[in-house]
Amino acid sequence: MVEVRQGSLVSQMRRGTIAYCVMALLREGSRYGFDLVRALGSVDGMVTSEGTIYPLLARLRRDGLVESAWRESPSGPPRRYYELTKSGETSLQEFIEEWARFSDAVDGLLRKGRQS
Amino acid sequence: MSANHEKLIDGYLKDLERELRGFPRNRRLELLAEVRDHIAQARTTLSSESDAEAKTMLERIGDPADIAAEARDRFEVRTVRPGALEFGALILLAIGGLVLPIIGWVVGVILLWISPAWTSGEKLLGTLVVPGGLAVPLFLGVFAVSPGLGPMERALFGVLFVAPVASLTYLAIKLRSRSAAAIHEAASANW
Repeated sequence: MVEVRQGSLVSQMRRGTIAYCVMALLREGSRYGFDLVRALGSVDGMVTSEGTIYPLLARLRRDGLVESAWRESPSGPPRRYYELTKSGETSLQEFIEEWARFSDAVDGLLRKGRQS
Repeated sequence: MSANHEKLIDGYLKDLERELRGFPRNRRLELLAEVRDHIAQARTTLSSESDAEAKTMLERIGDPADIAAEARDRFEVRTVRPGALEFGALILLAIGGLVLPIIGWVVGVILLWISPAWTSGEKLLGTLVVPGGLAVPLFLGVFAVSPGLGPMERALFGVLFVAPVASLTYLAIKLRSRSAAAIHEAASANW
């Protein structure tokens, strides 16, 4: 048996999926960093350090999956709003399909293991 | 908010800035600005002005080292711990030619190019300024003390001495900044 520490297992799963979770949140419309981070943080286990989302956003921006624009905010100084690009949408759609297939496969195997 | 809060937050941002040392300036400033913004907005949601709350807020944002580690990871920036290879390269480039004429310096060049710690441009600088390192001016120095030397020759001698010291100092500074973070993709125009 391969021994996997629970903490590192969760963090690995989060690592592989967080970019798509960010993109999924942006599909509903553009958001600024703080808003995005708090929305992610409200889901249990998704964000351990809020600040680590910003390097991720920078990377997504560099890869052309999201773009950002400065916009006036109702209160206070202008904020950097993040938005999903066409290519980000395509990438997210691909992930959603892959994820459904993958999680179905894993669920199926886990169920099988329980029955036998 | 109290002055103590300002101090806590300033300290946090300074730590983050230090952890991001070695990143290209634009990337560093952007990340700092985003985190600073985040803090400003998080502060508006605090219910009290207690130091405990400010600390909790910063803990939630995370250890600056973790944020920098994430940034290195996301941008495939590798950490380089300067070792024998890098120190050997610098020393041999400087005085290798004195120990073993020509060959000592050539070995230094080889070590320089093997090491992942420098960019190609920096390696080129280290190679071309000045071939032979300090062996050249020190060898020429024997002649420099001869009385028949004009000001032009003396100036050239000075340049030959100062140039390799300057270029190797530059490489050493770069090396130092990269012991925090080595920019593996420094050539990438996107940065």
